[in-house]
Amino acid sequence: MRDLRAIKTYQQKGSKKRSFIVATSIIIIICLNQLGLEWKDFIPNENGYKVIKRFALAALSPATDYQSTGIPDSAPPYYHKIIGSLWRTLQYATCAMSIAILIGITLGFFCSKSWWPPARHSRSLHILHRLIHRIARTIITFGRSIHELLWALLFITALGTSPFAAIMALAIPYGCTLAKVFSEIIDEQDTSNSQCLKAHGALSLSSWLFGMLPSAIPDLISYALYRYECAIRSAAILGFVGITTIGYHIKTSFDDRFYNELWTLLYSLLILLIIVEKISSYCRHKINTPLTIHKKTQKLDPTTTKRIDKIKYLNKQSNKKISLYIIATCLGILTIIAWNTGEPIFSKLSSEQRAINLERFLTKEITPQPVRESGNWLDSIPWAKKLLLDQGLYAAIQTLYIATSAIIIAFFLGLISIPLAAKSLNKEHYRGVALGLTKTKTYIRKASSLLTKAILMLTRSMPEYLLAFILLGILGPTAWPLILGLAIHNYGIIGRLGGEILDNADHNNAKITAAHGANTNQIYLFTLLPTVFNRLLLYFFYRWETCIREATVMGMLGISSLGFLIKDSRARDNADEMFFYILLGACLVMIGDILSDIVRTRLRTA
Amino acid sequence: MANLFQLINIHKTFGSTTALDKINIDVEQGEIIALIGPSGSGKTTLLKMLNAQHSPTSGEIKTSNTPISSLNQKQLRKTRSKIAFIPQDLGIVKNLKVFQNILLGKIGTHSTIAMLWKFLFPPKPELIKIHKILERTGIAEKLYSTTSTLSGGQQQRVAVARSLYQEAHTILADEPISSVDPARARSLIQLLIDISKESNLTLIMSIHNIELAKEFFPRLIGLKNGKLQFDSTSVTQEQIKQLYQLSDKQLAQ
Repeated sequence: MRDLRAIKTYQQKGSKKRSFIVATSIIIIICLNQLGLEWKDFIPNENGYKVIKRFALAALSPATDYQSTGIPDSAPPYYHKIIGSLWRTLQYATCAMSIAILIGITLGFFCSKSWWPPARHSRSLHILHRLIHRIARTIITFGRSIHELLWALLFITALGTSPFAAIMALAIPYGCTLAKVFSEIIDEQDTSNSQCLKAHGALSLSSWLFGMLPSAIPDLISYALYRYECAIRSAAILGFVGITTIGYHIKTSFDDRFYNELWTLLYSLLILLIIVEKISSYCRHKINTPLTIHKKTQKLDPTTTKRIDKIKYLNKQSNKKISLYIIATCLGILTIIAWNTGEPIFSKLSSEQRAINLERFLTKEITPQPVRESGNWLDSIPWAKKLLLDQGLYAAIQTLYIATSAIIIAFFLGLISIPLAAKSLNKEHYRGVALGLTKTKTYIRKASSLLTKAILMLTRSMPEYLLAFILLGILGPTAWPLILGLAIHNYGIIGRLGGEILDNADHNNAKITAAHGANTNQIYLFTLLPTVFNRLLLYFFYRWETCIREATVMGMLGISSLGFLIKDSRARDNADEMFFYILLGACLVMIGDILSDIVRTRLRTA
Repeated sequence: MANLFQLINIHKTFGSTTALDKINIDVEQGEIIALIGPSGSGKTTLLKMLNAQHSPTSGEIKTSNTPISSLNQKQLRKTRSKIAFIPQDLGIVKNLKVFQNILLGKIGTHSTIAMLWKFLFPPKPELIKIHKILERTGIAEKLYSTTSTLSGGQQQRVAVARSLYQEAHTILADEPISSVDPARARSLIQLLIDISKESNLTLIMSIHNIELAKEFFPRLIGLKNGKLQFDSTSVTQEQIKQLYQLSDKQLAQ
C-alpha cells in the first residue's frame, strides 16, 4: 500500500513534464486554428515557387554592383552603399547602447533593493527608498513594453526622421531592459559577503558596493555585450520605418526584386553580427576564467630586500587580461567615432523647430480626436472603447496566438537540437566515460554537431522581423511567415542556451547512465533532460515574453495583428489611434511579463 | 581587569525556536576561547551577538562595560570595526584581488568614497603593510592574485590576514577549519593563536574538532540546545560525551 502511494507521488512528479508537453501541443493547435492557418498554406503557389527559385539562386551569386540599370555613372560605387549602411547600423547601435548603459546603471541601481539600509535605522528613509523604487520600476516596465520599432515610429512622428530618433528609439527600451536585468543580477548575488562587511562596521552602501557588486560584474558585462548584439539587429530593423540603416536597403532591394543585391546585404549583416558575437563570447570566456598561470619572464633578484621592490615585482608578474583592455579601448574609441561622424546627430532640425514639433505632437496629435474637439477627457472613453472592441482586442489576441505558436515550435525544435549543440555530448567519451563509438560514428556525430551549431548561429543572428519579411514574400500573406520568423530566431537562441545548460548541468548521474551503457541520445533523454527541464522551462517562458513583444510589431508587415493597426493608423495620419494601439500593445506585453514572471518564480522555487 | 565582553542572562529566539537560553559569559581581553557543541547548538548565534549582528531577545551584552543596545549607528560601526569576524564561508569576495579583499578589513572606518579610492588606487604604505601581513600568514606571493584562484586553505589565510589588517582587538571565527584537511586545520589554528598571543588579541572560535579544541584552547565553552553546558579551563571526557549525546530525534534532523 505504502509502496503504491510512493509510486504515485513519483508519477505525479514525473507527470509535470508530460502535462507540459500535452498542454503545449493542445495550445499550439488552438492557436493555429484560431489564426485560420492550415498546413497547406505552407505550399507556395506557382508564383511563390518562382520567387523561391530566384531567391535561392541569388544566394549563390550575391551582387557586387548595382542590379538596377538606371543608376547614373556619378553614383558612388556599390560597396560604398553597403559599407555606409552597415556603418550606420553599427553607429546607431553603438550610440544607443552608450546611452542605454547609462540609463541601465542609474535606473538599475534604483530598482535594486540590496543596497537599502535596514528599515529599522530610519523609517522615513525607508519609505523614500520604496517610493523611488516604485517609480523606477514603473518607468522601466513602461519603457520596455513598447518595442523599439514603435518608439521609432513615435519619435519619427514627433521629430521627423533623424539619427536622433533612431538612437533614442533604441536607447529607451534597451536602457530599461538593462536596468531590469542589472538589478535582478545584483539582487540575486549571495549576501554573505556583504553581511560579513557589515559585521566589520561597513555602511549599507559600502557593503553593497564592495560585497555584492564585484561578484555581479562579470554577469553584468556579459549581459551588456549580449544586448549590444541585439542592438545591432534592432538598428538594422529600424530601416523598415525609414531610417537608413541596412534594413532600409534590404527592404527596398526585396521590393524591387533585386535578390542578388539583397543577398549581398544579408551576408554583410550576418558577417557583422557573427563577428560581434564571436568577440563578445571571447570576452565572456575571458571574464569568467580567472588567471592562474603566472608568466615567469624574469626572476626576482635574490638580493632584493626592499619590500616595495618585491611588491612591484609581484604586480608585474600578475597576469593582466590585456586582451580585454584592448577590446574595451576599441569599444570606447568606436563609441566616440560613432557619436562624431556622419550626419550630425543632434542638429538636423534647429532645437527650436524640434521643440515646436514635439509640443504639437504631444499636445495635439496624440490627444484623442473627440477630446481635441470637445476639450473633455471623458469623451475619450467611448472613443477608446470603440477602438478596442472594433479591432484592438481581436488584433491583440491574434498577436498573442502568433507569439505563443512561435515559441512552442521553437522550443520543440530546440529540444531536438540541444544534444547536438552541447559540447559534452559530442565527444568520443562523455566526461571521461568512454562511449565505445567507432571512428566513423564519432566523425558523423562531430560533423552533425558542427552543422547544428552553424545553423543555430545563423538562425539566431537573423533578426526575426527580417526573417518574417522575407518569408512573407515567399509564402504569401498568412500568419505563417510571422510565426516562422519568430520561431526560427528563437530556435537559434534556445538551441544555444540549451546546449550551454547541458554542458553546465550536474553530470554525475549522467556519467553513471553512460557507464551503464547508454548512448548519447539516451543520456540526454533519460538523465540530462529531466535534470535541466526546469531551467529550460525558465527560458521557454522568458522567450515567450520576448516573442509577445516582437509579435506586437510583426503585423506592420501587413498581417492582421496589432502591428497592422498601428501601421494603418499611421498611414491615415491618426497619431492618436496609433498611440492608442501602441499602448494596447504595451499592455499586452506587460500582461505577458507578469504571467511569465509568476511562472518563472514558481519554477525557480520548485 | 575590565571585561571585554559581558553576556548577562542572554536569551534569543527566532520565531518559536530558542537559539540561546540564559547565557552568562565574561570574556577578558587576550583570552583564547573555543566554542564547542553539536550543530544547531547556538554557536554561530552567540558569535554573531558579540558584534551585534543579532540583538538578544532579552538580557544584555556589554562591550568594554558599555551595553551594545545603547550604541547609536555611528558608535556601533566603531565598535564593529574593532572586532574581526571570520564567517564559515570566509566572507571574501572571490573575484577581487587578494590585496583588495584585505583592504576591505578597514571598511568600518572609511566612508564609501574614501574606500573606493583606496580600493582602486592602493597607496604604497598600505600595500607594504598588507605585504607584511601576508608574509606573516604565509601567502605573500599572492598579493596581486585573484582570490578565486587560491586554494581553500590559502583563502582562509586571506580572511585571517584581513582580520590582522583591520587592527581589531578581537577575532571571532565561525568554524574556519571545517573545509580543510587535518594538517591544514592544525596549522591555521596555530597561526590564529600565535597571532592572537603576539598582539594580545582576544580569540573566540567555534570549532567541531574536540581534539584540536582541547589541545590548543585554554578555555572551552560548551553549548547544547542553546544552553551553557560548561565553561571551564579543564573539561572532562564525561562532559564532552554528554555534550555530543543526541536523542534519536535530533540525529534524524
